[in-house]
Amino acid sequence: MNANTGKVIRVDLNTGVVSIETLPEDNYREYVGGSGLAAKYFWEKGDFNADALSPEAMLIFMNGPFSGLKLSGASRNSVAGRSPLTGHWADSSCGGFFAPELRYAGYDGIVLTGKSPKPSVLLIEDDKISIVDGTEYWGKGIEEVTKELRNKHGKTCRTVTIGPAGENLVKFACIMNEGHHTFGRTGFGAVMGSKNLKAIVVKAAKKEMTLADPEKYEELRKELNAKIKDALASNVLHENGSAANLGGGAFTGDVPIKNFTSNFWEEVTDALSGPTLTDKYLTKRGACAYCAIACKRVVEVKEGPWTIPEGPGPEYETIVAYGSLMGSLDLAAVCKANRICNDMGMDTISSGVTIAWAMEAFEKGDLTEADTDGIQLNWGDMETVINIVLPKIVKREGNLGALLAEGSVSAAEKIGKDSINYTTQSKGLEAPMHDPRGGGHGMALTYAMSARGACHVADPMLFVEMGSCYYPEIGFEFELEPMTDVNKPEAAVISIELGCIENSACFCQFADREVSIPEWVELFNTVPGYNWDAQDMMNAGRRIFYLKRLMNYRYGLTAKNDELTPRMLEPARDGEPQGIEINFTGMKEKFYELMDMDPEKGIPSKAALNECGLSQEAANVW
Amino acid sequence: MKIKVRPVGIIKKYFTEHELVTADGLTSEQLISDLKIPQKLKMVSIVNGKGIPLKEKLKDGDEVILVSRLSGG
Repeated sequence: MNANTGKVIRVDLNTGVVSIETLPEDNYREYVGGSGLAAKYFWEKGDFNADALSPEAMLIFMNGPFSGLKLSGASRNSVAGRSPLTGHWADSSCGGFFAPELRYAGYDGIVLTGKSPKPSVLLIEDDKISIVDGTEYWGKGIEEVTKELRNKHGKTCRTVTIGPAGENLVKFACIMNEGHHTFGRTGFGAVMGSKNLKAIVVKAAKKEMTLADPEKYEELRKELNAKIKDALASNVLHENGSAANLGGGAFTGDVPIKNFTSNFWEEVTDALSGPTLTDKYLTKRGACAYCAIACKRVVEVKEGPWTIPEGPGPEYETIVAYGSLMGSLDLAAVCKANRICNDMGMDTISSGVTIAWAMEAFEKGDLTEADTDGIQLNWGDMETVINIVLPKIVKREGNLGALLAEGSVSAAEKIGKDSINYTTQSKGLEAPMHDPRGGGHGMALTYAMSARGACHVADPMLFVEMGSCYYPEIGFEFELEPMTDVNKPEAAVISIELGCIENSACFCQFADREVSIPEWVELFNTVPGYNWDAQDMMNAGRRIFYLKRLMNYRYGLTAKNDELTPRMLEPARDGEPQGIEINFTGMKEKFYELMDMDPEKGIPSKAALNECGLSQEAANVW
Repeated sequence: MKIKVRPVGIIKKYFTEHELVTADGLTSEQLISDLKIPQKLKMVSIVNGKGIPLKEKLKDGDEVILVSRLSGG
């Protein structure tokens, strides 16, 4: 097998038994790696009846085929399984440094089941794999634990760690690599916590890999690295981070404000933008493994109420979630909240969205002081958010902490009073910080179709609607107008197929914007050596999308779950998208037709599954 | 005619806010080209507080905000 090792580490935390499992080469060819390969593994070996936080639940870390190959953007990996937040299939991707080290150690993935009898750490040192006592780390923040693990196991080791939020089973707890890179979404930190697994440490002695055509790959790698580094967008991202053009998004109505009640707030343009972060707080830039873009931020806040020492800084999503979404223009408060969420191990999107929803609920009187332990939740009151609300969520303390630690959907269902209507989510996953009403109507469709729930990185629709992607080789040459439904279902089909490839290949969406379809195909042909053409690659993308549809169907989801909330679909009240209706139903119907999916069950037809090579899977659902 | 142009976000790299005397009939598309803003930045023109098509002619006294649609993270 080329590029991939074909080996995954299987760990039963109940018994402490570790084994190495070999996966069939066909699984890689058909499902690529990352979230696709994890889905295939789970489909065959996972327990669909297991609660996400039970010992029987399966948690899978999976690399893509390009991990460790010194290519910009190519060394991410995925964690996948049943989400404790949404209750169905989910995956979450992370950059950083864990994937290459795992690959160098000789493995493509790690599969965890069971529950360790006491807090533990999984230690992988090439062929030597052990479960060691992690009691000394339990209860500690991620920053401290990451330092201690590196002190103990050497500076060259790589780690993934959970914080107290994961230990306390906060439903949107995340997993962090090196304290700066995040498997942010869908709550897999709580799954690790439920298994008493505080961290995974990996350390490889060598960096040897076998490729199908190393010379051709090396030529391609150099070309792509140069192209990615020199791209205009890469330079923008390097200079001022992922929030570089937050101001542009504010003026087009893409940036959500006060729980999606507004689409325009001019002051955010300067107060919360990437250049402002650079000017005020940036101390240096950071990068994931082998990436020439280096979009990560390292910040320090030296004065004011939110001082923090030099360390990981916020990205666009966090800046909006803990800024305009809560009615705040305080960028230092964003830096502080980000640092707390990183250290405690919480997704800044789901936590931010849940808090913003609570602020609106409190304003409306749907959430009362009896629900909040007497705490006032007011727009822009970051002192309360940072000093009171976040610690309560992490500890599940009091009525408020217990309520919000479950996520916005569960909280809304608990307090009732139609407050579910102004949650901003799909399939139980809180929406990211791009409002489809201004950002692009196609994104409303892809948020609803994403297997894990509302997501802007399951596929490149965000970039597609901006007009920054053209793929003539696969028939994608649409000139799209963001705030219409014209050609959006057609664009969504290609975007979703490509997104499944990106996320299974574990490729960064920023770097990927510079990679053409022929280059993608060449990567697969020179690295794992698939001898593919573009259609073969896109077929794999569709197969992965279809399999995830089947998985969610087994979790009880049908077409009616492919929805957005009333708040997300009501015409915008101001800004560029003011008054414009999203033809969501029309787009959804057309998308279902193009994807040959059953309009009630929400799964592909038997014929479509058979055509994609999923006849065995079809027999399970038809 | 006289118009006022203002950059937002990453467009600040290409020009600063200023007034401009120009020939009648100038479109946002021509203005963007004159200001040497790369096409890749996928521009939006907001005139007097409302987005207009790039090919629409500007008028005397217009206040033009130019922003890039590229956004993300």
